Amino acid sequence: MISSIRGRVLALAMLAQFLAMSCAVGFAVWYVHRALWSSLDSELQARAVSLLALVGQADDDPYALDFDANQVNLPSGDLFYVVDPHGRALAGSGSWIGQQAGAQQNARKTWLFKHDGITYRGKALIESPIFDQENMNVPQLRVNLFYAVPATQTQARIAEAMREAVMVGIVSLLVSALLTWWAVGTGMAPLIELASRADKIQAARAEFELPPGTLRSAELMPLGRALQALAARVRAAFDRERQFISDAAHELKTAVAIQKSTLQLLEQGRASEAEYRDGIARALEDTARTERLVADMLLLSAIEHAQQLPEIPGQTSSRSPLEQSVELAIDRLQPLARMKDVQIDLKLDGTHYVTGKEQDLCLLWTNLIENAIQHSRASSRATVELSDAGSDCCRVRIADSGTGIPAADLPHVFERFYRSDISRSRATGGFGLGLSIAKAVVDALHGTIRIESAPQRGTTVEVILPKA
Amino acid sequence: MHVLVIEDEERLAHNLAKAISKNAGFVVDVALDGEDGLHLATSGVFDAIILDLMLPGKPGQEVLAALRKTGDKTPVLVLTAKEEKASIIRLLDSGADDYLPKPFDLGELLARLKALIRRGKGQASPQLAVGNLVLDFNTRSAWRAGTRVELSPMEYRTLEYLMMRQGSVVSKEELLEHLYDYNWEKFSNVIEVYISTLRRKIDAGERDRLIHTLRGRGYVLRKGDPQ
Repeated sequence: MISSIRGRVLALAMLAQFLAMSCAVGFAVWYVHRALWSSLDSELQARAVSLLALVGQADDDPYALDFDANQVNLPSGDLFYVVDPHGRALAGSGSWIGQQAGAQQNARKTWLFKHDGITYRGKALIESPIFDQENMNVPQLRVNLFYAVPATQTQARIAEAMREAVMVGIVSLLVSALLTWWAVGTGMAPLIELASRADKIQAARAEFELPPGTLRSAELMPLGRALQALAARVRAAFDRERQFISDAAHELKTAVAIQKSTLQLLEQGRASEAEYRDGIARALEDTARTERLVADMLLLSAIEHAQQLPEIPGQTSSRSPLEQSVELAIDRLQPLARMKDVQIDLKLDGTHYVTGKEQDLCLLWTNLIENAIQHSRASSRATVELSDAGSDCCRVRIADSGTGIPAADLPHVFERFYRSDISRSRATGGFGLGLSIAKAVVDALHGTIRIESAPQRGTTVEVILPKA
Repeated sequence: MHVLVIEDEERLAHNLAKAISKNAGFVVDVALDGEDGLHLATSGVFDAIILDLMLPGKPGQEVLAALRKTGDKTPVLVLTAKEEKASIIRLLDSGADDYLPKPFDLGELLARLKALIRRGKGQASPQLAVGNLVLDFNTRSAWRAGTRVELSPMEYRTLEYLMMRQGSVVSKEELLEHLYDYNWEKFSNVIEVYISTLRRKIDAGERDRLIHTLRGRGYVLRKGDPQ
């Protein structure tokens, strides 16, 4: 399932905004609520106390209370009830107090109640000492006073304040949603541009220019650089392959041209039986050469390809003594060495184990030692020396004292189809693939190969392989 | 005619040389790398050059450029394994006269080679004529006044060269250079022999003599006055 980063960022931002906004709105509402009620409560208190002031000592009985009803000047709609502790009503009506009185009486608090469809805020002053007691011979007189004011207006103001706060909250939530949507969109634009440019990378023309937006973005820079490097690698790999195909095509076409010309030559004019036999023999030689070329190309491709595949330990490679493959290769090349009158000296120094397929190792040594023999002068020596190279590597050094390689050619000798000197490779029947194959094998074994040469003094090839 | 083959694949070079000498009767020299090829090519004795592009020493493209830089006008037929248009255009632009992609057909190569030589000598038709002497470049035969003249290969080659260069004075050295490979010096006396045989076979009994000897300068094939 595809989820949009923009959507997720927006949702997250909105959630955070909503929580923050809710807190702010909640606090504002609570504050307004408290302020309005407390102001109403103080008003209530003031009115109740002013009513309390109208309660005095009865003229006729110092123990009785009297209420000066003439002075009552209350806002209309207020309710009150004045009663002495013995339950004798002095003024007002107690009907509105109802059942709540019992519960609220002692609380010295205010409470809300409904009476005749109107909400009231009520307050009780229980056993309040009266202010106006002239006769001090009697104990302090006390009175119970209940007072209520309509709370509708306060409730309406609270509701309005709440509505306004929520409105402001919603509007700011919407504004910040838009801003977030826009900001995330703008922030993502360089990524989208980067993606569209990356999408245009093709093997044939893997040109990748970083969009300016990427260069300015610390987050996108690593991705941009990685894409750039990837494009460069794709281009290099493609160029290498194209070069290889072009070179291979050239070699194959040349091989076919030779075969074709040999056969066409035979076809032209009238030839004797001996000429035909000779021609067929030459055509077969040409075919064998083409076969060798194709086999070498496939071998190189197989090794280079295998190097990219994960190796399963113990299945494709095994731990094998280096001496064994070197000796096998020398054995195989003895006939050639005798033919060229070259002596091969093998110098061993203990046993070295490496990880690799015996046939790959043997192919590697065969290629390198064959080169040494081919380029040696008659009755000279080539040496193959095995030794330690540090604690975790071993070294195989193959040296000849032959014709050497010109300095200008040295950097190219591992390139496929590179032939430094045609007369030399013609003599050896090479296609310029031997050292490429050797290098591919060494790379597959995670080793290194190095070549040193001085013209007319000889060539030394050094292979370093990790120990098993 | 004398053709230079510059080709690094020895077998291909020799097959070409053999086919050219066997079928067209031309003399062929072979160079196996670019350096040798250029060195030989600049000697100016060749009537055509077959040049491979991928050469050790000096790439074919450079050989061609260097040759043209010396002012050499020898027709050059390039053998290439690259068939991209751009590469072919670059080749022709840098002075090649024709090209053949590998693998090529020997018959086509010979036909193109002969056409190049003809054009190089300023001849358009494969039938060359001077007076009533006609020489067919393709069938390698000669007629005088409608009658076939039987010629040995060497006599034919000598006549062919003189016909190609008809009207111009051709020195003995030039004949030797174009009819023999690089070690022509040892043949220096045979030219007189071939010329006299040719004269006997072609001019005997004819009113118009066509082969003229200019003492100390060489030979000329033309109708009428040798000067």
